Amino acid sequence: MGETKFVGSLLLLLVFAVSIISYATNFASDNNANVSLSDDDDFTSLSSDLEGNITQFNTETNQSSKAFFESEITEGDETTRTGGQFKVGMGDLISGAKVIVNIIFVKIFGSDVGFAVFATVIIAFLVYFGYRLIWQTWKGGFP
Amino acid sequence: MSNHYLYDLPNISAGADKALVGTVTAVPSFTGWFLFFVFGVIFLGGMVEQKRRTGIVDLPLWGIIASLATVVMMLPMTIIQGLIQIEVVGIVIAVSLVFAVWFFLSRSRGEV
Repeated sequence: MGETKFVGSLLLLLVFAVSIISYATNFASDNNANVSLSDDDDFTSLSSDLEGNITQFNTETNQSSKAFFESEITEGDETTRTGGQFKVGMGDLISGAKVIVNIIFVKIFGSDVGFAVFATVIIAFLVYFGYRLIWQTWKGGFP
Repeated sequence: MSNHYLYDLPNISAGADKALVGTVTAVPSFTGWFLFFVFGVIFLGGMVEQKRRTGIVDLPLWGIIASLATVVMMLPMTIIQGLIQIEVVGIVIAVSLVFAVWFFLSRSRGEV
């Protein structure tokens, strides 16, 4: 999986989470349901956090694309010095994925500290994998 | 001879939805198990049928299809008071997010 595929996967995951929570919340609101997802503070804050991550990703890609079009590399160089255009968005999207993984473990397993280690492992691996993909693309690998 | 029942019998004359609420009141985990049944039928049935027809199984795909179908079955239950608990709603949404994570991170090059 290249960096482009990984970033696309995380972005779709965030959009999916926002969509399903919004759908459930709006369904309850439209039908005056007795039980609503908006009564659950965890999911309400998850939805607003993810929307913030997506908005921030949009802002960073716009800024990065503008800088990229105005940039240049010295003849003979194989890549850019800072690699900024390869790093854009990864932090925000992984932050969004972290929030999703945390709420999954809280809702399914409760706040038990014993299960929190699995969430930590998954999040740490996402971070590790993401930044290894950035390095692979930065040094000239398949994007 | 009097009949002794373990649970209060549902009152059908009050309507089918009241009978269902009475059943859930007597057995609170009924809704959760019903939704698990819906999930299991779609997940296992789809998986087995795909294996039979194509020889390969796309587990994350069937997981997300089954979990979305469970969400669709679950949402109308939230309209009637006493039919489903907020905890079950949260778990159903959380399970759909689990399979979404697995699905989106398991796609290979060229797949959706």
